[in-house]
Amino acid sequence: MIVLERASRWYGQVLGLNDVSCTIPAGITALLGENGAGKSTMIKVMTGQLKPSAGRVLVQGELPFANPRVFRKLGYCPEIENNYDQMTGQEFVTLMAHLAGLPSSTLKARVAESIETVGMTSAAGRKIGGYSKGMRQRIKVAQGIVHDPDVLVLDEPLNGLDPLGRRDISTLLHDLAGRGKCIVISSHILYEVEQLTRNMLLMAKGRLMAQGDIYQIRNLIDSHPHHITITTDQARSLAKHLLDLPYILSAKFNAQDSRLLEVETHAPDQFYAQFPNIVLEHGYNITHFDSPDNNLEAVFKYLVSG
Amino acid sequence: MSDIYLFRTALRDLIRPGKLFAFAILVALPFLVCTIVKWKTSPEEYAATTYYGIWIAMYVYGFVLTMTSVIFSSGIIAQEVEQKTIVYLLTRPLPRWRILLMKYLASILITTVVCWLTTLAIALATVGPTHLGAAPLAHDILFMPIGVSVYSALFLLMGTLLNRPLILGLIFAFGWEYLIVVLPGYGQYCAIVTYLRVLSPHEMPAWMNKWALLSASIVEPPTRMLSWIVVLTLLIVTLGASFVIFSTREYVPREEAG
Repeated sequence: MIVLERASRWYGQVLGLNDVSCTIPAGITALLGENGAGKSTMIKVMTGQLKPSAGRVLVQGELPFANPRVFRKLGYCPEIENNYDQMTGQEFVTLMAHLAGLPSSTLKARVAESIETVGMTSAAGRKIGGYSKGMRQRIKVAQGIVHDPDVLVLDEPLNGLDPLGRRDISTLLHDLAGRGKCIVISSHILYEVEQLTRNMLLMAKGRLMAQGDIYQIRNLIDSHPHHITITTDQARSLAKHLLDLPYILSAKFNAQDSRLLEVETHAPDQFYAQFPNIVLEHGYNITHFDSPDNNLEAVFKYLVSG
Repeated sequence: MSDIYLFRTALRDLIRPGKLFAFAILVALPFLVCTIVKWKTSPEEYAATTYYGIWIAMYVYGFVLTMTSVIFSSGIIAQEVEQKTIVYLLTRPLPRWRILLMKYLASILITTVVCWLTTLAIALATVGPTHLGAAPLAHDILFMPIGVSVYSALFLLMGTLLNRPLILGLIFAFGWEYLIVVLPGYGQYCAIVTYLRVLSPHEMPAWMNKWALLSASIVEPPTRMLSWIVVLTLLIVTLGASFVIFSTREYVPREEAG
């Protein structure tokens, strides 16, 4: 578990992290924000590379900065593309395993296992300098998990990975989370993490804008109407019935497609509960149903612009 | 075990082919020049031990030792920071001072070996393989690691404090150290080379001794005892300060924040 208590970090006059308090439990937690939002600063503070200027950070109950006890339990996959390019993937992971203090008896097997886990066994003997971006990402993940840490922090680990690679890493992270590990994954690409976890931390301008289940966060934003698009042959009739509901704010027809109805509500949960009943009662043929506000992009836009 | 592996990795990094080529030039160059000088000079005029002394004092101590030390030791941290690979070292459960120590040891080992090979090449070219005993070769071989250690520790300290320590290191090694010893007064007491010359004296031609005595004509050179105290104190203090600074300082470039 990672705990931030009113943690701030500034670089001279520049505020990197602003009074952030949160608890990151076991499981996968996504750290989201645009470039410059403070994600990297937060990760550097959590991984003991930076000391908070104010407040404190605890990883598994201890201050992380230059603390070997914390680093025994912490795996870190940095965002940097630079690795030890003159080394082979095998040598790199072996070095990291040695530095992690793995005993000689298990070291070789652990190195082989972690390399195999990220699908790099066939390329492990090649120099990292010749690796593609995706391969570099994979070998970075391998060094992060080689000592089987309880806490794993990954800074933009899905950058440069092909769909297969993303699936492999996602599967790996789900497996680790299933074993009770605490995993923090940062990203500025929202759909990536949306498929990984619902638990997230949203950062903007160094501040923690929201924390928790993405759908719960969305539901808390009552000031913003929730948009739902419905496609049906009986759009006008459906609109009439929906506008009778007290929590429906508006219903608009699409100018290009008369079958497309856009509904605004400030009580999406009630709407979702009621809508199937209306459809069944009046026998509407619904061919498409979607809410653009149910994805992370919309939530993020609301929070940051709001 | 992790310390040894880190030491071996650091060592291997220091003896990559490009660097080995540079080492070979450093060793071969004085051998060739000394051989040519010996060949061109008549045997009656050729003072082998004096030539040996000049080359060791001016080339090995004055150039190879300082140059190699400044490049390797000042780059121990700076290179990792520049390549951003420092994050891998600082997020592992090995105490930071041990990381620094292993890399420092690898650096002084390679520098010492380069100095030894250069010294041996000079000895072979000047006094010849059959008269090696005529030159203070054994003394130089024994003393050189101390000279390497003290310079390397100082440049290591610069590397832990500064983002770009190489320039300042070069200014110190080839500006300060050369200039301060020829200035009149106590200035020579502020140069490491002064103490190394006292602890490892070499036969010099008369005209060079007169030039070197420019400052000594006003101030007595340090005694051997004082020189040992200064050299060892400097070694311990700079090394200790490097360990403390590296263990407490943040090594994340500001542009990385965000």
